[in-house]
Amino acid sequence: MSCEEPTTSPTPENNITVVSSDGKEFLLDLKLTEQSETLARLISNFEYDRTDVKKDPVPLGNITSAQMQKIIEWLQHHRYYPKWEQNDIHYSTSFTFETWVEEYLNIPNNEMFELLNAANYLNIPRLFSTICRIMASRITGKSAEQIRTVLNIKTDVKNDVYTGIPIQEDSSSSEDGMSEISLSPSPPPI
Amino acid sequence: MSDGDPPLRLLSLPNTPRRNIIQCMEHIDQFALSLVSNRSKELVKSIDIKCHAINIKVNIIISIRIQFPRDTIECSFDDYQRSVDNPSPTNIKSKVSLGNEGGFVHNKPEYRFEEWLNHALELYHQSELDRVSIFTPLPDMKSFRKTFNK
Repeated sequence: MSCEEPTTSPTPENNITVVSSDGKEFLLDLKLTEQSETLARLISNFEYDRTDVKKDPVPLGNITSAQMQKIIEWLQHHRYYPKWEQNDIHYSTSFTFETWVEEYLNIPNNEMFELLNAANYLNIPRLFSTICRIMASRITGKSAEQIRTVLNIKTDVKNDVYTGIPIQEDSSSSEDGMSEISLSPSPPPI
Repeated sequence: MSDGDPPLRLLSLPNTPRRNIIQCMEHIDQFALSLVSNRSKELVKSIDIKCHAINIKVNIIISIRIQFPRDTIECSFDDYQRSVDNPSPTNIKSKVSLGNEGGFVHNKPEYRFEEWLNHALELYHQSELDRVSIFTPLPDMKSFRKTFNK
C-alpha cells in the first residue's frame, strides 16, 4: 500500500512541540498527530489546534528521544494514509507488509519492545497492530521449548515440600521492574 | 531476528499489547506458549479462545483432538498404556501437530495423559469432552474411562 504525498509544507502554526523523557524537543506537524489517539485527544482537550492558544511543549514522560524519532519516522511515512481500520484482530492466514515497513521494523527484540510500548502509550493503532503481528510471527512454528528460549521464561514455581517456599522462578529476570505505562500523560501547561 | 537477538519480553508487556500479540498467533503457537509455564498458560487462557470441540481418538495411538473452525490441533501419545505396571506415565511425550503440518514434541514432568487432557479442556474453557472415538480397544479400558468420567 502506498500513497501519493501532496506537495504542501507545514506552516509554523500547524506545529506543536513535544518533549521526550530525556528532555529533547520535537516539532510535530498537527497533521501527523492525528495518527496518535493520545496526542489527538490531548491537542483537542487543550485546544492546541487554535492559533490563539499559547503552545507550550507537550511533555511525553514515557517516550525517549530515540523512540520519538522512530515514531516520527512512522508518522511521516503514513501521513497521507487513510485512517486505520482494524478489521480482524485475530489470526488471519496470511499478512504481508510493504517493504518500507519490513525495513522499518527490522530491529532487535528489545527495540521492538520499546517501540511497541511507545505505540501503545501514544495509541497509534496502525503501528501498534503491525508490531503485534510481527512479534507474533517471531514465535511462529516454534516448539514450546524454543518459545521458552525466545521469551526467556524459566521453569514454573515449585514450592519446597517442607517449607512451602517457592524454590524456582516462573518468569525471566528481564521482566523484573517492568510495569504498565500509564495511558494518561500529565496535561501540558497552558 | 538473529541468533544473538535479546529475548522477546512478551510477559513484561502491558496487558493490551500482550493480548494482541497472542491473538495474532496461530492456534498451535498459542498452544505451545501455554505449555511453557503456568503464567503463560493463564495468559493464553485469558484470551478466551474458543474451540469447536475437544475429542479423544483411540486407535493404535491415542490422541487428543482440539477442533477449531479452520484447523485441528492433535496431541498424540505413543507411550499411553504401553506398560502394564505404569499405564499412564508422568512426563509422557506428546506429538503436537496442526493438521498435517509438522508441529513439535513436548513433555512436562508432572503431566500424564490426564493432565494433558485437563490442560486442553482448561485452556479452551471446555467443561467436558465432545466425543471419544474408539477404533482399537486399549489394554485397560476401565482406567482410561476414569480419565474423562469424573
